[in-house]
Amino acid sequence: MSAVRELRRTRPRSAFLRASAWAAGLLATASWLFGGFFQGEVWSARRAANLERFLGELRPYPLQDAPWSWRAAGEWAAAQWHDHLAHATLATLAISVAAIVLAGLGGAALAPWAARSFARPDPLLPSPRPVPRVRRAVWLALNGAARGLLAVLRSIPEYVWAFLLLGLYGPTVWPLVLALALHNAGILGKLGADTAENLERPALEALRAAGAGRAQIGLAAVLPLAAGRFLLYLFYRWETCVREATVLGMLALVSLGSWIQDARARNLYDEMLLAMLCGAALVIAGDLVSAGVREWVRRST
Amino acid sequence: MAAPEAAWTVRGRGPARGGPRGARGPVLLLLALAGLWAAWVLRLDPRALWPDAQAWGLAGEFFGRAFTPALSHQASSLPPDTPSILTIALRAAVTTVVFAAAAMPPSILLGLLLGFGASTAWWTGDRESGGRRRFAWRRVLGPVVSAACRFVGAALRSVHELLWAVLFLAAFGVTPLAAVVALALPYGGTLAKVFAEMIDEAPRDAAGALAEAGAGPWQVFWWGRLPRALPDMIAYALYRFECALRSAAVLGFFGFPTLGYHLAASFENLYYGEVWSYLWTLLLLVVTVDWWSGAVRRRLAV
Amino acid sequence: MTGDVNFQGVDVRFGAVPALRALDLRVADGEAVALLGPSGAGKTTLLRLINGSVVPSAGTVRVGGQDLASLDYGALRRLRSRVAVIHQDLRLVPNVSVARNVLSGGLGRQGFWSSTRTLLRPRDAELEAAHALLERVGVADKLFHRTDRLSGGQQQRVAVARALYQQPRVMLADEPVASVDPARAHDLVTLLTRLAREDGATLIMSLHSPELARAFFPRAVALRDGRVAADGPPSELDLDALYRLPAEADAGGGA
Repeated sequence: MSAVRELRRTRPRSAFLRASAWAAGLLATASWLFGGFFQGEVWSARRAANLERFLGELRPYPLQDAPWSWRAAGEWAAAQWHDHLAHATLATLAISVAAIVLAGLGGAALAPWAARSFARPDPLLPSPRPVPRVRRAVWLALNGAARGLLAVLRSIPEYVWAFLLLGLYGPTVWPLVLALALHNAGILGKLGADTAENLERPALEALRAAGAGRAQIGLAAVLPLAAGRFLLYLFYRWETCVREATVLGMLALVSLGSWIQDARARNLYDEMLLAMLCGAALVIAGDLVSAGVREWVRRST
Repeated sequence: MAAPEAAWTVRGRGPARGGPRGARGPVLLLLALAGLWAAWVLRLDPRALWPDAQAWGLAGEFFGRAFTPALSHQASSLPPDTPSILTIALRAAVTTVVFAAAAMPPSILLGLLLGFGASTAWWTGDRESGGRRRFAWRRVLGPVVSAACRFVGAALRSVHELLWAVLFLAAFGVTPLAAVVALALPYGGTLAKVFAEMIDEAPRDAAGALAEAGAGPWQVFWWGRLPRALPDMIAYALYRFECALRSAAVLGFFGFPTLGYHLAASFENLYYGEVWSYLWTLLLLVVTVDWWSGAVRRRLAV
Repeated sequence: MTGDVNFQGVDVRFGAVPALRALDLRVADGEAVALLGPSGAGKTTLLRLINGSVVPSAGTVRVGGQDLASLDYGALRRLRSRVAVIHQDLRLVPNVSVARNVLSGGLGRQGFWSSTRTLLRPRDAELEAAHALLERVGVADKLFHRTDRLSGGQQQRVAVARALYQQPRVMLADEPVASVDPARAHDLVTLLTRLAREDGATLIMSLHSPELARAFFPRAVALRDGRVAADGPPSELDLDALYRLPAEADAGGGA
């Protein structure tokens, strides 16, 4: 019995993991206890009245004082759709597509520089002759710069990017596309670099041992092996782009978001809700398409 | 004759289809065409990317301060007891972290509940057992519950957290609870979808072995399939926390007391130095959490 | 339950493909049998019949006197809990402790809540039992280590310990040494035959190597094209003929 106790006492434990688990638990608990969520009146008669009024305003305008009729609601919704929602939905979709294509190009361009196993003077196999310190330093700097750039791109939220770029370009559609493209390029670049680093080494090392250069290995081996994975990530991110494209419009005049913002500013909550539902439908449709494409890519890889 | 000898495990995926390069070629073509279509719909003009002289000036001013963030207020006159920039940044950062940390437990709970329900693993485990299947009710109830959970998850997920926040703002006003619930709902839906995928796609080798040792379907699910998916699930939950930080910061644009609030205010006043102070704070937060989640993931890795 | 295994006129077809044909085989309680034959001969299918993972298209399979076709789900689970399988690819859960992997061998005889308690907070007695089994297989000090941090050979022994935790009457080993170097193969077969003998369990091991069969087993059953080609003490059988191509085998006198 003591043998088992002794084994348990001396078992390999990761102090880091234990500390992390404790830290996470404490942070979550402390946030709820001291975050000020229950100060003031969470629920009061005034709040309840506000809520009731708000819910009432969600009813479509023509039906505000009339009994509920599905036909009337449908007509009102169709009118909104034809008037502006259809175009806004299309624009939202187009923004997400343009952004993900650009993000894919940017991410794919940066990924090789950010992959630690490739962006070095002696990729994959150590070079028999010692590498001059200058060369090593240059490669390290390039690699570090690429990784740093990707980190910055993906750490700044799309909304902030859009906010900043709109300040620069004015209220056009490019800032929205660029904001999404930049942020997602950071993500796709990082994922691409990770994929490249985690590829199966033997095939690549064999090519290197046969004298192939970095670019040759890239084209011959890395690209075919990593392309499928990269496409999966790209479509996965596209789903997020669709959601974000809806919201970014709140800053500008182009997508569904701008109509949501517009309706909100004028307190027309029924129109706001309808625009949100259009956005939701677009997201769900996008999810389905993306799932289908990803399954297709996966099956053939 | 090819007897399916190595067939202890459940069926694998079908043969590759679509030619030697498979789907990648057509998909790339599809993407290129879609990109062109999008550019046409939006009337994107690459020349518009080159900003005009005024915009260049603005850009230069803005990016010029990237490495000299303001450490004290840039406004010329302020109320006497205004806290310093660093204090404001710190407080906003703490609020951001608190919102994100408070939103994670409910979203993880929601994600686990809906994710388990949406996965197919808990009601298709009988296949590993082979032989007789007694639990017919699971095979009838299973698809229904899965579909329902998937639907709820998709519905929650399809509304962006900022839109949820807008809804709650209109209904309840600017309260911290509104921000947390606005984050927790869509995040729960996302976690549900990802968790369900991870559970379904985890290797089934251990599950098969347990079923052959006589374990019942629930036991096979909990101790055979779930543990195989757990490291990935934890890694993804950590990634979600990092996203929650960013979303919490952006909620500030809508009036909540997080980093985005001060960022927007300073930008509108053209105090670019201050904007960079808040941006660097956000960057620091996100990079730290990114490093931490990477470290945890490495130690958990299978 | 006793560990005798009985096949009578068993046919197994997967779609149009016959895997086993008119199989008649008797294995007595406690016997050690080497199952030989080229790939595709039906060895794995035969083993899968014994714990009900494969249902025969014709004929009966009896384990411990019970006809598998007559068992309801609960009885099948009980039978499976007494039939231990050691897979070639081990099928352990890599990211949990060795203790938990070994204790999960008891899932077959425990109910859901009881097994939950065992795996989350194992009792001292249960840990003692797992430790004792790990001692028998030679990796006792790894009880609380994470399973995937062990070497391949050590993990294989953990898989054996998990099988032993079932207290099996029948042990089935599906090509346990196929992808293993000769020295380790020798050790593993020694271990399995010894353990089965100590516990009085029936052992059926599928092998590729006639040498191992000759060295360790008093009885070998050779399969070829889904039929029993030979059955008896390995020294008396022309086992090498098994692995020759059909034309050669006929020319050499056949089996």
